[in-house]
Amino acid sequence: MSRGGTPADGGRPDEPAEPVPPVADEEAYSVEEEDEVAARLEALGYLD
Amino acid sequence: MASSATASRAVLIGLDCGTPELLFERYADDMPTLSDLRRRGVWGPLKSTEPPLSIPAWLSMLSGLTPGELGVYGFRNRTDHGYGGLAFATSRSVRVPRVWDLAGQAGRESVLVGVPGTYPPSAVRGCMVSCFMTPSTDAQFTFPAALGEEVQRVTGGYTIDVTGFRSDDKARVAQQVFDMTEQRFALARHLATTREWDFLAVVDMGPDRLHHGFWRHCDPSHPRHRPGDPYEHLVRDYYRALDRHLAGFLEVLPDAAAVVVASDHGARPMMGGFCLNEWLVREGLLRLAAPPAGPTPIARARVDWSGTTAWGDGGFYGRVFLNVEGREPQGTVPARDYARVREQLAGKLEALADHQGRPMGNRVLYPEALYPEVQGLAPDLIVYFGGLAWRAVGSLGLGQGLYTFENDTGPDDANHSEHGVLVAAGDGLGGGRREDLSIYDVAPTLQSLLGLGRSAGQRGRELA
Repeated sequence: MSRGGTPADGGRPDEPAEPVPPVADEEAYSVEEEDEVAARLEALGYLD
Repeated sequence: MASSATASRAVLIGLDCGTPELLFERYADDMPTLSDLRRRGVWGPLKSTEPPLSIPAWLSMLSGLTPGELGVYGFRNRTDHGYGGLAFATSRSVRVPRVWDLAGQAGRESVLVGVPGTYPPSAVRGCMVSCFMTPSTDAQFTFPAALGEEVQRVTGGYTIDVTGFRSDDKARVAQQVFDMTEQRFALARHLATTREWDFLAVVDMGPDRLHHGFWRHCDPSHPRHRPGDPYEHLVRDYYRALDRHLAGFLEVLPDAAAVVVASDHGARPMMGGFCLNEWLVREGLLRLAAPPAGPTPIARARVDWSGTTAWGDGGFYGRVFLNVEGREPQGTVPARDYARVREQLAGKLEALADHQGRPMGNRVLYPEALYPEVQGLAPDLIVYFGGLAWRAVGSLGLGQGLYTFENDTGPDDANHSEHGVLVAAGDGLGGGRREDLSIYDVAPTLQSLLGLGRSAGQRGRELA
């Protein structure tokens, strides 16, 4: 299937692109920030 | 304010966990504004994604692609075939355009508030306040960054999400939910009237948080419902308040703007939790190097991987991973036996009984059968215990057998259900109630309203 990049990375919707890689993105959070989000979601029952 | 007096404009009001049985039935008379939108437009239950979970569902709703195509199967996803656990899906996990990306490409402006899957905030033609997965307002939570100060000033301190949710102080938690919803709509009003926009999307997490924390109080069918308790009418009162906020927001929108109210999934009463990994241990499929001393998440359990066939991750649905030779570091299932072992395991899961010996009615799903593509690292099996009447407990060592009814693994009031809501009103949107609405219809409909074409591979239909 054809898959495009986002405007931010210069892609166009009709451009073939690489398959989506695994969703890891360690840069999005520091360790403390990830713990904060995890604790909040765990309390809500989303994580177990 | 709108960016053009003549261009079409569209507004998405997202209600996370908005449930058809509540919004269209039980509290329909308490929500005159929403009911009026229904009378003027097209509406009905909205079939969610598989699984019906906020992050994959909102990503799918606003891209028109399935979780398999996105490679996002939950809040957290495997990053490799090791045993090291799972990592959060964030905005950077999304490699396909969403509605606002397409609008920006066409020179149209967007205002986005709280749309799940937008942390860390990214560049957008317009502005963005990121979602509930923002760690705190100490992090950059807006685009442009300078918007953050304005948001803090307008809201008197922006609430990202409800905190301290497992508190016994129910009154405080309830007040936080009411306040958060009021604040979301106030901010949406402010940005709607001070920014140029063609597409405006605001998502409120309040309904989801209220349902998870208070469902049993309002639903007589919940096993722990107690008539006459102090919170019996809390959910009704919340929806009355939400409808007033909705009315106040609609007042400031241009008459010509199309309005779409949508939710990512619904809610249903939760009967309890099924201890997935405890069961795998008992079946001889998961071997522990040492028994846990107390409640222990699977990621911290001492697992003997060389003797393990499968393990699971919990939450509102179950994910099962097979330990495959040549794929996992200490795989034990020969690749040639993968299909047979997986099928046997699926059969056992489907045959499980509940705590009273009755069939649980589990649904076991194969990713490759659900999705046209399976990107990233999907679970080998997706399990809805009791058709989502039971949560999946991944932790070991709870000491309660296979079934748990206590609240020590998270709220047990509500689980997710497979239908959310859609109400869409505006030029070209009509026809009343429909039973065939899909979450994949939302993006193409918004794009059609905005005069944008479909993006590659996008599913669903234009309702306008």
